[in-house]
Amino acid sequence: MPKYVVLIVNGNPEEQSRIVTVLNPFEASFRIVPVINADEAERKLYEISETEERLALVICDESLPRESGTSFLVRLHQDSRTRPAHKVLVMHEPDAEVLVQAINHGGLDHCLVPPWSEEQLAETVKNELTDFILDHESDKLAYASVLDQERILGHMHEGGLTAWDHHH
Amino acid sequence: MRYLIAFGLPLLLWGLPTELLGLDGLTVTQHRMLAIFALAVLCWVLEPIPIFATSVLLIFLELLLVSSKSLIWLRNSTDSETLGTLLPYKALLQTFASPIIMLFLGGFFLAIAATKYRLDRNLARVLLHPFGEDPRFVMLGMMLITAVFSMFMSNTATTALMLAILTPVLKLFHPDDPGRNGFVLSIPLAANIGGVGTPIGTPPNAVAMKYLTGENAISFSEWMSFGIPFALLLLVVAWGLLIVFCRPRERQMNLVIEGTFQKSWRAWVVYVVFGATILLWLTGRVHGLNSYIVAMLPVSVFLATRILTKDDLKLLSWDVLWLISGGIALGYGLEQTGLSMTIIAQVPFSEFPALVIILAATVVALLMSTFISNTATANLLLPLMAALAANEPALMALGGERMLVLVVTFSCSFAMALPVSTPPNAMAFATGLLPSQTLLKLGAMVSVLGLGCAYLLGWTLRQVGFY
Repeated sequence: MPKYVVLIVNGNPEEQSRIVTVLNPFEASFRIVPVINADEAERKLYEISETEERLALVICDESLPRESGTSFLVRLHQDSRTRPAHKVLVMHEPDAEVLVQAINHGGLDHCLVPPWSEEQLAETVKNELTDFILDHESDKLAYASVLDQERILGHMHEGGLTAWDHHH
Repeated sequence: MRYLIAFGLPLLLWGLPTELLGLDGLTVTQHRMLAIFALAVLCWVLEPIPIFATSVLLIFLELLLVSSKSLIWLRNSTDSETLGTLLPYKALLQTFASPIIMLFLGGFFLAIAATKYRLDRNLARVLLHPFGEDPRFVMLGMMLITAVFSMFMSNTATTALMLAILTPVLKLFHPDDPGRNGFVLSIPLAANIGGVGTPIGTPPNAVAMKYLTGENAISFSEWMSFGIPFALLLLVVAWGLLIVFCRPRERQMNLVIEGTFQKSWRAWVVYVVFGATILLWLTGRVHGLNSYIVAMLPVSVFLATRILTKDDLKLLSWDVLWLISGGIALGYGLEQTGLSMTIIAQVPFSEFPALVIILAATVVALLMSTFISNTATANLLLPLMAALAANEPALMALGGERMLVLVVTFSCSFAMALPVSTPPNAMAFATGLLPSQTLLKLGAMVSVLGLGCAYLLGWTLRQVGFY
């Protein structure tokens, strides 16, 4: 059972399923949780907080029903449990003001603006999850097959390495 | 369940009356040591706790139960004759800083400094250049570099470095190209093989050094004089197998390793100290410093020049050092209480031809270390091997303790058929680029050929009069 969760918050079913498809290859090591609005997201996060699981990545649409994606990210960033999670914002049109708000107060790591491709999204997810794993997981090797191998191995070589003669 | 077996059985063994064990002349101390040995076997095999934690526990239990400062009721309960020899507590505590541990510490300092100043990556870049762009020779080059690095750095760190260099290039290979598997497999095989080249190449060698003292002592340069040719021979054999079974279809590959040699004064100090340490290790006879003292050179110079700082000290693999310490303490306990002799005496070894004994010992070592840690295998087997060799005239004739300890140590390092056999295997397997059947097939072949090479070495050293 995966230890980490990737949360997709998107009210547009078409875009939602497009993102979920891109995330398929990560499913072996991460639990992918798609939700349609911030309320549902909060409920899922509450469930997660009751278990051993942790949130690793949020991919959030800027235009959610009732609330902007940015204000949701800001809330996540204020909560110590979800603060370490990496945050990706999917925008429909570039808006500098929103972006500044998301970066300064929402701890935004990456922003996708149209027209973004599946490859771009896959690359972004891989990068952000690799960053997260390098910072927060001790068994980094377990993620080498789905994430950025070169960086994980390089990191293990350069210091994170404690397992010289260890097993499992 | 694992906890119950690993801790319950030794406790039960300790609780049994000494006479019931059926071992003639077993002293009370030997009986306690036997329970500790049983705990070591079970804990290292079943791994209810981390293997280095077992090591520390062994030392503590020896101090508690069989040392000169053990619990007072355990010391005064019987007369000194049935009690047997108690171990000096200082000797047990000293295993934490035995010369062999210091030798490894020196190796760690060299490796950490080389990585920090990117000496390893830059050396790999320069050394790989002459091997051109034909994938078959690039593979040979990568294997040679991996093997040489793993003689001085940890096998795992070397594997991480080389796989990190390799994986971006392998993405360009066709997914069905068997060469992809071949390349990913070549790195852990070479790292495992390279470890036998020097006394600090891999922890089982350190354990072996404990039994190669006094008249059986082997110096750093002596070890390298047979270790390196031996490693190279097996490396070329392994390369041949990979070329036959995983021949790359790609005609050309271009491995780009970026970087330039750093030129700060600290970088220069790293280069010079690295070279000087190896040179001093090789020329012990000229200057009179033994390898343990030379190992303090990188430790003191790197700290004095702030090349390695307080933060870098935290990167040291204390777990590995303590794993070795526990092995040394276990061996010391078995030897000093006389228990290893008593155990060996239970089996009528003299009824078997010496070659059969060697074959059995090496196969057991290989099988054990295929499933459990190589170092733990060496920790458990080598004390018994040393006692066996010292008592068996037939083995004496073939080279005695030196021969048996060496071939069994090498057998411990050649287990490479499974992902769990060695950390480099686990790492290559975790990339997802290596099918388990390929690893099993070729890893097992190299293991068996490694044993063959070990016999050949044992025989050759006898022919040249090394022992």
